[in-house]
Formats: sequence, C-alpha cells, structure tokens
Amino acid sequence: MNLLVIAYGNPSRMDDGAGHYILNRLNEAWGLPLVDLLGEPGEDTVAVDGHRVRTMWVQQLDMGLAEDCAQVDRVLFLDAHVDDVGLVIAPVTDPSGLGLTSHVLTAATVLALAGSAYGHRPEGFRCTVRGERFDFADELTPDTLRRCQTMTERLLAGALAPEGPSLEPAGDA
Amino acid sequence: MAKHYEIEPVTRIEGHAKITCVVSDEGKVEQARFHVVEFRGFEKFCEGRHFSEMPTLTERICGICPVSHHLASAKAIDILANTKPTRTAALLRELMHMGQIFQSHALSFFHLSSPDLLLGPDSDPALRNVVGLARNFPDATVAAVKARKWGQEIIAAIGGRKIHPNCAVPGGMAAGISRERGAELLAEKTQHLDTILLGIDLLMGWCKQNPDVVQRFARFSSYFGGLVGPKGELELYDGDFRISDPHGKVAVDQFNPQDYLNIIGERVESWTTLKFPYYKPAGYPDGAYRVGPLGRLNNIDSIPTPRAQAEYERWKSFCNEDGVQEGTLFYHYARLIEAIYAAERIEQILSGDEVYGPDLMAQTPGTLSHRGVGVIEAPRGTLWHDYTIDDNGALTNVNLIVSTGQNNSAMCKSVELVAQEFVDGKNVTEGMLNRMEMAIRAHDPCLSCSTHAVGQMPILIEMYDEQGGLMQRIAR
Repeated sequence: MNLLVIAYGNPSRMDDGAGHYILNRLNEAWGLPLVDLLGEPGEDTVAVDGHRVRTMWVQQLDMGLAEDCAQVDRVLFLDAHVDDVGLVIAPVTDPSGLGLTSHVLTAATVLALAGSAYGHRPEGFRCTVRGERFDFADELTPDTLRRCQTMTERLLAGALAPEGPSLEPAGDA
Repeated sequence: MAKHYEIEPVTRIEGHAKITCVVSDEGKVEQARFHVVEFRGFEKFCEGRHFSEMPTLTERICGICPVSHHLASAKAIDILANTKPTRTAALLRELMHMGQIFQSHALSFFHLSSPDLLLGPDSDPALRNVVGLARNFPDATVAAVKARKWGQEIIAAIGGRKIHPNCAVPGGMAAGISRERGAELLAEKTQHLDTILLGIDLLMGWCKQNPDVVQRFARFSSYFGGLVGPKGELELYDGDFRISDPHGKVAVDQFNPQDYLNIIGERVESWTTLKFPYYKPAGYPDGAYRVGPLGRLNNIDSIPTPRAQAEYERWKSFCNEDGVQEGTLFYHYARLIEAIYAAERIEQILSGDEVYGPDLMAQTPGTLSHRGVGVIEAPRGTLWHDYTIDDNGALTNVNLIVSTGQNNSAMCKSVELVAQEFVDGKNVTEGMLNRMEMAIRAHDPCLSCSTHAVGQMPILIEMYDEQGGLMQRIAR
C-alpha cells in the first residue's frame, strides 16, 4: 500500500498543533525524521512492513496536494477540531457543494480534485482530535495531548491495515 | 414594501464580507452595498515593536500575498535604516515578487473566477468551483495547478518556503539562489507561460459567446492608480506613482510615494470596516480610483517585455475612444497579461548573472530616519506600508493601505450596477446573486489583507423586509 499522511495546522497556536504532534509521533515510530516546530513544513518517505509511507506537514491544505493524493492508495488527514467529540476517525466523503476559497481547502475537496483532475481519488480518513485552546503558545493542553497520544496508538495499529484505522474501541480517551 | 437581500459571506474571496440589496415592490434594485465586516487591528498592535520585525510580522496578514507585504515592509525599513539594497538583492526581491504575481494571478483566474465563466454563472453551485472545472477541463486545471506551483516554488527557492517566506532584511536579502535552482525553474517557464496563453484563449472564447454580458457587466468610469517606471511602463516592484483620470489622461505622474498623503485621502463609512481611499484633488467620491490589473493597464503606456506588450496592444483594441477599458470583467484579461509579464521577467532575471551575485546586503550606516514608506504593486494593486519610529527604532505609527481598500469604491459600484442590470427582485435566482459575487471576484479582493481578518464561511443569502424581518434564507 502507498500511504500518505498529511498533518496541517499551526503549532504556534496551542492545540491547533495537534496534527503536527501526532505526525511526529508517527514519524518516530516509522523511523522518519521529525519535523521541526520552527522549520519549514517538511515531508519524507520510508518503507514500513512492505508498505510505502510518506508523511508531510503543511500549513494549510491547498490544491497542489491533489497531485500528491492521486499517487497513493490511502490518505490520512491529521488536524484538530472544535466539535464536542474527543476523537474522530472517519472516511472522507465527497464535498457537500460549498463554494471554495483558496486559503482553506477541505480534505474532501482535495480528494475530489485528485479524482477529477488526476483520475484517481484515493481512500481518505479524517483523523482529528478535539482542541481546547488556540492561543499563542507552542504547547498542547493536557486533554488534547492525551487525545493525540491515543490517536497515535490507533493510527499505528490501523493506518496500514486493509480496513484502515478505526475508532474502536470506542471512547473519548 | 421594499425587500432587503443579503449575500453573506461572499465565497471564493479571502475573508468575510456580505452583499446587501434593497429591492422595491416593483422588483427594482434600489441600493446594493458590499460590506466588509471583519476587523483585526494590525496597525495598532504593531505599535511599540522594533521596525526591523515588520517584514516578518506584516506578512502574516495574508497567506496569499505574504510576499507583497514582506517586500513593501522591507522597502519601508530600508528607508528607516538609511540603506538601499544591492543590485543582487533588488533582483532577488523582484524575482520573488514575480513568482508571487504569477501564482496569485493563476490562482485567481483559473481556480476562483474561471468556474463562473467557463461553467456559467447559472450552473449548479455545488460544481461551480475548481472540482467542477477539473471535470470539464481536466487538462487546463492540471496545467493551472502546476503553473501556480511554479510561482510558489520560485518564492520558496529564495525565501525558504512557499508561504510566509522570511528573507528580506534592511539593505538586502538574507539568502540568494543557486544557479542550479535557477536553471531548473527557468526550464519550466515556457510550459507555464503556455498555460496563461491557454487561459486567454478560454477567456476570449467566452467573451465571443457572451458579448452582451461583457458589454453590460459593471462598466463605469473612474480614476486609475499604480506605480509606473520612468517611461510610464508597467512596473510592479518599484517605480513612482501615477494616477490617470477617467479619460485616460495622466492626472499626476512620477509622484514620490513618500509623499502619498498629499494626494491620497481615506474616507470612513459607517456600514463597513473597509475604508475608501480617494485621489484628494478630485475629492470624495469622484476621486475614487481603481488599482490592480485593470487599474494598472489603464494607467501605463507600455509593458517592457515582448509577449506581454503584444497582448497589451491587443488589449488596447478593446478600449474606448479614450484608450480606457471600463469593463469590470476585463480585470481577468488584464490579470493574465500581467502573468505573462511576470513569466517574462522571471526569465530575464534568471537568465542574467546579477541575481546569482554574492553581494546580498548593503552596509547600513547605523543611523535611523524616523519615517519610511514602502510601496509595491501587489497582485491586487498598490500596497502602501508607512512606518514612523522613535529614536530607539520602536514603531509609533503604522499605516497600511492595501489594494483591496483602494478598490472598495469600485467593488461597491460594480455590485450595484450588476444588481440593477441582472437582478429581478420579484424572481431572485441563485444565478442572479452569483453575478454580484462575480463582480466582487473580478477584483480578486483579499479581505484578510484589507481588514487583516482571517477565515471563511459558507455562503448564506438572506432576504429581509424594510423593517429588518427575515423573509427568505438561501444557503449553499
């Protein structure tokens, strides 16, 4: 399997850095270099158990990512969210018809564009944790940090599994 | 009883806005306004910071044109530090700026505005976007994605990253570009220039099929403003300021940007947080001027690169007897012509030796001036950064006049004209309302820049009666 993991958000805005944190824990586990908080958003590729894994951290999703997505079988989108639920691992569905801006593309739009422009829409999962605070600081709140650790465990267990990552066992963690 | 329509916020522009429409019982639009409802106060919270931080701070205003803010700010702090960039540094800055112009213009036309034109303003709004565009024009969409990426790669090659590069310092640049990287980027130029030419073909094809819309869509007279070179040529990085009157005659020329407050005033209206800049000698509102691609091409005498000049001469054939193009939809054509110019300038700079020179930074004398005004032609128009500092270099006053603000009057006028021309108040359709959005999008506004706001929301259209009661709501 070709897996692409895209983390996005701003690690300088506390829990908005959840995706960045999870990505680095995955990078540690997979033997990939860590992405520096102050450095340029980066990417790297490695072989894991016969699979090809590529990870990247970007500041925002944009249409240029569609080409990257079209080259893989599965994409995981790592981010924080503000809904009540603690953890979300859910398939990325088709966009719901909103107009687009260039600043903020959704994972759904990126994958739809991969399909319509490049001919291959990969399977996608939105993997997000609830953020508590988004002020100016480069640390996660304790609750979000705990959720990130749980999310990391779930992704290490299921990211490369045929059925994909799962929220089971259920629970906020 | 008059009805009141709102479109909030406008989609596919950067930042928050709404359009309101008051419609009479007879179904005629009596008034239409473009409101900007966000405020961030960037100018205020920069006070007290050291001036040397400003290129890094102010580029955070925007994720689309951070290079423009970075460089306008750098030019201001050059003046404060009593220094001038070396030739190599000036070329590096201009090269990065051309990358910015190219990627922003490609994004604006292909991904934000062309769905309205190529898929039609009445087409399914769920598909009237870049995904729908890709389904109908896959090759052009892919080429446009690659073209935008090229511009971003040029920015990253100099500034270290595509968004929020950090490289300009007083008197120069902190890093240069290698010949190897320059050669790689240069090799892609023809391919991406061809994409822009394809965009012009698509636009011209649409115009031929819709001559009535082109003629009726928000055509009005105004002043025009922007930087020009010493011979009145297009100049996007440096130069002096020129304003032309509604008949194409030069009203003020080679004006030193440091003295801009002598000719530019700003008006505040209670119903929007976005100010209304105007040309002082003509007063307000008559002195409202348009900036950006349409403003610039109506304000210059020539373009100093061959392919863009040829297209500019074709552009003139669409102008009125005064040589002026008043049609709002022609912003798109002007934008593509400027993208050609940017590609040609990129080629010129990367083909030369000077940009690869080792002398990246000029000496600074160690003394400070107390006021510096940096100005640049951002993708959306003239961008002013005006700083005042104390003896320690701490900022005591900051004034930013951004492109979108200078087009505020034009956007309001465009919306009103389109509403009066295309909206039937007795039978309002989504396509009619989208035409008002098209008038806004033609200016490619960046409300994040103009009010320094962030974020975006789905579109919501609401209709009120004269007393403010909600009559109808349309969401998509």
